[in-house]
Amino acid sequence: MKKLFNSDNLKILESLSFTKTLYAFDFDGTLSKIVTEPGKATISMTTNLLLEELSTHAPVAVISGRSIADLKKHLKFVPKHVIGNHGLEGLGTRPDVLETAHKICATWQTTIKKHLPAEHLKSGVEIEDKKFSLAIHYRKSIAKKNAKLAILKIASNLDPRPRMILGKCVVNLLPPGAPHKGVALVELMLQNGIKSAFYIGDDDTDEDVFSLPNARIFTVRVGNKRTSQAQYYIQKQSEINKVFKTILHFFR
Amino acid sequence: MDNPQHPLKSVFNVGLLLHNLNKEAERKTGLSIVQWSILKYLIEMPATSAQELSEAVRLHPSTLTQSLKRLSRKDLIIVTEDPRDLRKKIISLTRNGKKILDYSDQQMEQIAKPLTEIRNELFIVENFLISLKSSK
Repeated sequence: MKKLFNSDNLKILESLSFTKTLYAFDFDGTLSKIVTEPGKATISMTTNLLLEELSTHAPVAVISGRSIADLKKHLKFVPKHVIGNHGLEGLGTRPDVLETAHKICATWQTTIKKHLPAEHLKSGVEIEDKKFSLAIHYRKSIAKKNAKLAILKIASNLDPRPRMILGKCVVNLLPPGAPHKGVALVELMLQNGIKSAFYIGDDDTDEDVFSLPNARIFTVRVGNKRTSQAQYYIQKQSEINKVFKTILHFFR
Repeated sequence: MDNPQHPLKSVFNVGLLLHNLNKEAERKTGLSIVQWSILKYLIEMPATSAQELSEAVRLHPSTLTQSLKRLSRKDLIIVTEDPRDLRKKIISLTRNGKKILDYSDQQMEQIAKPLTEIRNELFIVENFLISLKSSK
């Protein structure tokens, strides 16, 4: 990965503004800081205004593992494209596919609650029902490593076997065959006839976008992680407004 | 000329006329037709690889390299390392390149205008020459 804020790299970023480009953002840890309570995630007023201003110049999307309903509660400005549940929501997924996903998640939830040792449920592990996927958070657990192992053990024995996406102190379980953020981004580009995109995210769940082989998808990771497949990085989430202002400068 | 002539003489004459057309383009816009074609591709396709660009504008890689050097010296393009593979390069239009392109587009349209009458014939000749090359 290379530092985003470097003059040559910024020239490449600038060149995206010369053509129709989709600017897409992850939510948790990117537009908003990571928080211990997912319900308390907020997007700052400045970030919100910058997101809104960018949407007047170019197509903008938020792509998240959260459900769309949940995302909309936390976004003061809701852009035209909001993709939830890692791509299951927001792209016109068939109702029967969503219904099946919902039923699978309900079954999983019952199984997990039955088999997850009580000590983990009591000491900070939380199951978030996102209707079409599950997120098992262990950020508040006092024994994170053991909690993660227990979760992974149960998840790998679920039927049908879920697609697991590991995030920051969270194990995401998606129904088999469900899309991921990379598929969601490409689908969004295809649906809107857009050939290039900018994407920024902070987590392993965003690696599905970072690893897309399309050279015309400019990828940025929040935080410098050696093993990330993102092309560029910014140091921390607090630089997100600088990213927005840099992009907006290209349009002025 | 009314009399049929040797095809190679026509090829020579056409080549000379194209050379003069190219010179006119350079005089009016500061860009050769090849350079303009490269910039036109890059504005739609940012962060292009050299290989992709070579195929798109149908230039041999070594010829493309020379054109890219000239464009880079004029700060019309940026050529930098591909962050995913530092052995490769990616190429994009710069702000200056876009300004020049915006200015030159109109001039190029004027230069190309007389050729629109024989657009179909040019297309036939182009395809013929491509098939000739690939049959060797």
